[in-house]
Amino acid sequence: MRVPRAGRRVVVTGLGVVSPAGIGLEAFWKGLQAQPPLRRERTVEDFDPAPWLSGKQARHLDRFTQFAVAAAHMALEDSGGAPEVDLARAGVQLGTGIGGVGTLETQVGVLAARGPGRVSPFTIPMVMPNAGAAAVSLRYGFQGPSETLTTACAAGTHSVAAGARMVADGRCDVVLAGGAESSMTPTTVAAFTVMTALSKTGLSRPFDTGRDGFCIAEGAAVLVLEERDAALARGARLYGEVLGAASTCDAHHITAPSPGGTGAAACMRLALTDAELAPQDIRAVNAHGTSTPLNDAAEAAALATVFGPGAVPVSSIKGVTGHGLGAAGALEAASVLLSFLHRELPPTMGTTDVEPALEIDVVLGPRSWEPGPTMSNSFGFGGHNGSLVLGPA
Amino acid sequence: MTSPADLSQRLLELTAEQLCVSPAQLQPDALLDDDLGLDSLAAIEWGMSIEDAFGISLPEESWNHIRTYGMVDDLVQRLVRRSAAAQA
Repeated sequence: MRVPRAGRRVVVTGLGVVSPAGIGLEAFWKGLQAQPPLRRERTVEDFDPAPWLSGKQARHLDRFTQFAVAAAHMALEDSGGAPEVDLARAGVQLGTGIGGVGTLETQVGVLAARGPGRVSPFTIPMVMPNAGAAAVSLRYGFQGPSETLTTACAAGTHSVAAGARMVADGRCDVVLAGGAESSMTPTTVAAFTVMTALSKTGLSRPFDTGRDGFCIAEGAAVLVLEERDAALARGARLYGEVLGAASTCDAHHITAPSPGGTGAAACMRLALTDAELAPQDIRAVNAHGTSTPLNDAAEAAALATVFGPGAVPVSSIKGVTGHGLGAAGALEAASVLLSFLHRELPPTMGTTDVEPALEIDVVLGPRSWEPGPTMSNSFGFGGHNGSLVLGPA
Repeated sequence: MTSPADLSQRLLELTAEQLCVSPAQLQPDALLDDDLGLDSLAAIEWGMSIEDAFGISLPEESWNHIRTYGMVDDLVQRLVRRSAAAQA
């Protein structure tokens, strides 16, 4: 990462994933190649917090925080157990889109039915968006920065970038970075529905001619970020390196992307500059690719502008995972790192008929490749853009 | 009217479930914080479930000064008797 440049390189040494496509890395990667269900709401159906949390702990943590703890635990284990770390220099960056809205909605029901005296005293610490970051820090005794960025659907990407900077600038030696989301409540689903953001068919098909909205999803992903020399010294396995990142805002409309994806394109270019790479150095893109008519058109336009028409293979895993909102960027970063490991690009499942007007090379089936620098993009309501450049270690 | 022994048993079952402890841990001299792991928020939640289960209202000043499980049992017994007497 060029900014700030403290001579420290940031590597990823562990991954943890909770997703509708699968829990754990093996299930997740396999799930990314599987035919997705025809369902507008993509829940993590077989999630049981028991392996990670006692019944008492789980009862006092919103589901999004349970996901965060599970993903963080799997990531740390994957990195070889908690590395010998100075706890004061260990941090957490865990983003979310809407935080513990499910708990809030339950308590609104309690308030209406039983009055203010029966609202749970745990409501606020369960609902607050930083609950996930706090729970992870508490669990591992990490006393460095523990923060939550919320930039809607860009939160996961922004959080990985922010975590990487905490390592790059010398503040932290280890950061658990990612995103967590579980906000499918009757109210949020109704709200996304009335704004016509959700798919009516329950089919997430990024960049497809027939795309009709996103499938709302939940999940979490956490990356263990470490300083490269220290990671190598302890013999850690490296999934890849965080080469650069950028963040911009469209400042155009609260939900619609700027025409032609100009804000997104600006973000991608800044990320390339941060990574000290040229557009032709990028070997693949993990798209935001939500399957909404507007996002995919603007994103495709931005990609064609920055990289040239059809110049780089583009995958969106949202055909399978659905749109995990604040977890999405972290899940997608994990999928990029796994694509280095497996030397294969994940397919854009659900998509069969790429809209001809979109000048991009959509990866429709699993595609073997020689791993190289890859860009992962996220765009959130509010016009928030995030781009991450990851490279093989 | 519920006997004191029945009432103690109901409180024991409710508490074991609410605090995720074994009934054997709920000895009269068990300290709520050190032995049963109760913190301030969990105490409020537990108090609510006791009020709902026994139809009583726990006065804040009494509840805040309770230190052992035995004190809770005594308080609940007293309040349930008082409530029954008031209704008689």
